[in-house]
This record gives sequence, C-alpha cells and structure tokens, in this order.
Amino acid sequence: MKDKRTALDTLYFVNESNKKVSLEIITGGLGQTSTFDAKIEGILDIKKANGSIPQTIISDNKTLIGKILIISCTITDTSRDTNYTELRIRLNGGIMFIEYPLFANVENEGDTVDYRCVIRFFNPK
Amino acid sequence: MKKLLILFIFVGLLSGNLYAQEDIEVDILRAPSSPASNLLGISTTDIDKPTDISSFMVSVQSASSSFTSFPSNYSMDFLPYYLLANGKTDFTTKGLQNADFKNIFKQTFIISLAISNPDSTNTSFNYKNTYGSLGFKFSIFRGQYDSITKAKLDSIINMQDKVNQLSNTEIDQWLNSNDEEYKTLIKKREDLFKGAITPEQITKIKESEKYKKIQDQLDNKFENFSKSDEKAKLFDEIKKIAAEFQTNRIGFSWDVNCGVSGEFRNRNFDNGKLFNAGIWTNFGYTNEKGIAFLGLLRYLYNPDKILALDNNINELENISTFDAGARIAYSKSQSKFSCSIEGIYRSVLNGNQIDPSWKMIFNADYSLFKNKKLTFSFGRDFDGTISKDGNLIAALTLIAGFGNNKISQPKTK
Repeated sequence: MKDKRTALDTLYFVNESNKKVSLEIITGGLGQTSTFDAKIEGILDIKKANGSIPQTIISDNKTLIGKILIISCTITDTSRDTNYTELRIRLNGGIMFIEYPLFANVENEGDTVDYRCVIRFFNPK
Repeated sequence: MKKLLILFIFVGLLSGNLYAQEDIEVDILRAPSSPASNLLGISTTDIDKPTDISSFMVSVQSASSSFTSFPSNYSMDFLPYYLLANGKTDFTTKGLQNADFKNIFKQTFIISLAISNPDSTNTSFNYKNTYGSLGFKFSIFRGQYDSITKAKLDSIINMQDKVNQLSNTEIDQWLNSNDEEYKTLIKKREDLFKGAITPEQITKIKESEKYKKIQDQLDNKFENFSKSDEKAKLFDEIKKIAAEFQTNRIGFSWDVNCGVSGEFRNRNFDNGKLFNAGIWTNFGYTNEKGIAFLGLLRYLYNPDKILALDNNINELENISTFDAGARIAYSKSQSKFSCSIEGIYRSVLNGNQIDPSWKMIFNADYSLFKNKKLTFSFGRDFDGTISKDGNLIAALTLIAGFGNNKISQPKTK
C-alpha cells in the first residue's frame, strides 16, 4: 500500500441511461482545515468550498459521457490530534459505485497538502 | 460485572489495534474530558470546560506518588462516530462549527473507560481492590470558535484558495499535455475497458495486472507533474499560522455525562460488585477573554457504603449524593497555559449519619512539548475534612493523548 496518494487521474464508468449520478466529497481528518474547487464544464462549478459536501446529484449518465470532473483540494494540518489528511471522492449512479481515496501524512505541524484530481466519465460500450 | 470486563477487553483490543497501525502519531495533550475518570475521582477536574476532543485519548496517572512508582490509574476516551462512521460526519474545522444538535452529538459523543488501582493513602477506596468504570458524554451546546480562531481559519482558507487556483492551472496543463507517453497511457487504459458494461466486468479488469501497471504509471506521472513554485511560498505562509493553531470556543456550553463503575475485590475480576453510578451535567459560559464560568449538578448512587459510626457497629447503607459546583477557568486563546479553581458542595440525600461535605481545588496546566502536558492540582478533597482533618491533596499528572491516523484501504480506483 502506498504511503500517500495526492494525485488522481482515473475513470468513472457511465452509460447512455438517464439515471442520475451523484457526487460526495469528504475531507479530513479530525480538526484539519480544507478548501476545494470542483468543476465539470457546463455542469458543476463549486468554488472555495470548506469541509465536506454531502451526496449531491450532478447530472445523468448520458450527459456526463466524455466530461471530466476536476477537483483541486488543499488540506492544512490545523489539528494537534493527528498529522493525517485525507480526501475521499464518492461517485454513485453510474455503472457502479466507486470511492476514490487520497491521503497523506504531513511531516510537521501546520504543513499543507495539495490534492489534484481528474476523473473522466467514460462509456465503455 | 462480566459484561463490564468484556467491554474493557473489547476496547483494549480496539485501542491496541489503533496504536498498532504503522503511522500512529503521538502528538497531542489535552486534559481528558472523561466521565469514567470523574466517577473514580482520578480526573484533574470535576467540571469540564468545552473543548474539541481527540479521536482517541489515553491518560496515564500516577496516584499520589508523583511518578515514583508505576502508574496506577488509566483512562481512555474514544469518539465512536469518528472512528466508525466512515465519513458520514464532517470532522474538519468547518464541520466542527456546526451548531445543530445532530452534528454536535456525533462530534462530541465520547465513550470513556477508566481503571484505578488505588494505593493505601487513598481513603475513599480500598487499596486491595481494583476499580473500573465506563462513562458516556455528549454536548448539547458547545459554544462557537472565538474571533481569533475564526480569523486564523479565514486566513488559512484564503491562502488555500490561492493554492487551488494554481492546482487548477496545473491540471489544465496536465489535461492538455502533448506528452506522447501520457496520451498512449490514457488510450491504452480506455481500450482495456471497452465492452465492459457490467460492474463485474469492470471490477475484473481493474484487478488485472495489465490495468494496475498502466494506472501506476499514470499515477506516478501525475504525482510528479510540475508544481508551481508559488505553492511552496504559500505553504510557508500557511504554516506560520497553522503550526501553533488551536481552537478556542466561547459562548454557552452544556454537556451531559453518565457512568457506572465496579469494584473488583482483591483485584479478582470474578469477584466484582457495583461501586457507584451517576448522572451529571456541566454548563456555563466562556467569554472572549478566555474566562469560563461553569457549573455542575451531579447525582451519584453508592450502594453498600460502609459507615464507620462512633460507638456503634459499622453499617452498610446505600448512599445517594447530590453535588452542586462551580468553576472559574482561564485560558487565553492560542495559549499553552490554563488554570482554574473549582468548588463542589456535596449533600447526602439519604443517610442522616453522614454530614455534607465539600471540595475545593486549584488546577493549572501547561503544554510542555508537542505531546507532553503538565498539570498541577492543589486543594481539599471531599474526604479531606472527614477523615484526615483538612488533608491537602497535591498531584502532578502527566497526560498523554494519542492521535489516530485513519489510513483507508483504497476500495477501488
């Protein structure tokens, strides 16, 4: 198992149905401070969000084919409890549910981790 | 009693599992807000000040011998919603500012355990026995971050936003890269999944060596893809604020505690009985200057209490007590030092042969290093005037908190 993952370029599998796809973004750990942008051109534009966002419908399968979800997230160690930071992206409603976990431990109190994520909505048919 | 013992073993295993994780950090000291140690009289204060809590905390105390012997009192707090809820609740500084009861409950609900092996100087306990307790605690109100805490968070968030803008630019460059290897890897990966239309087919491909090899190459390439030099400068700026950052809460606070403890005769876990049980509440107000005015109301039930009566045979009686107390605490925002004074008056609800009693204690604590905190207590205990004529209790207590690193196994990628 890797000791950190801060960059992600991966696929999310969708089909030609009208079924809704939802996105959930979770940041942590306990007492850390996070800010993120999440964007899908023409569909989603979240700017300067803090903490986590609950499961949110973004669009349907058909519309998402060929689109790219871009997430830039920065997490700072403001906790005196842990040096662990994490970003978890959950997509549901496509061909299958997938959680993408990213994580890193900072070396020193107050250090910052920048996460860069690219998720391509891909129709494998 | 057996159930209590099983629970102790379970939590012991859980904590062992947490501590055995490769990257566990030991990086914080905060006074335990432990109802279990309150019940056994081994906490540094009876009236807790609202603080953000640790996901997992262990407190080790020497009894009255100030580190001249092996520690005899242990307490453990853990936060089940953080450890087990799998991301359902936001535990970042943003989420910890939520003011609705549902979130406050999940973020403050603590299960605590304590074990005490008292020595012969402790008149409230039999030194031949071991005592164990189980407690629960949650907040109804917890106040809000003070203006200094909020201002520091705002500064951090503004700089994080600048980092994200740089990341957005880098990602654009990544997506528009003309690197042939990058383009080939993207194409190869998509080709692998062509025709896979069911979750089973997709999962099978994701588990194949061919896919893992391509994905690893892409991951490494992206991980090492160019980063702006401006980011390093911003990280340094953020660190100036974040390295010494502490959350401080002001306003009204109110929490509820309850617990039960057992006495194991001759330290034999097959020979136990209920020692005491109680329910109590802390409430108060903390102002911007860091001064907290706190109150306590507590009901305790002590079955089979031995009463040493003058000129009579000792009697066993079930004693119920009601405590009312107040505490004034001072801790300046972002400071390592805090102190408090508290007084508690104890009324005996039944049992006319026992007089009411009181306790007065002064506490001070200072964070020495990253993971060491020294606390000092000085005062008069409930039993001081009764059995020892104003005996003073003084204790130096070292509290150690063990931060928990949760490493998630990637479910799928």
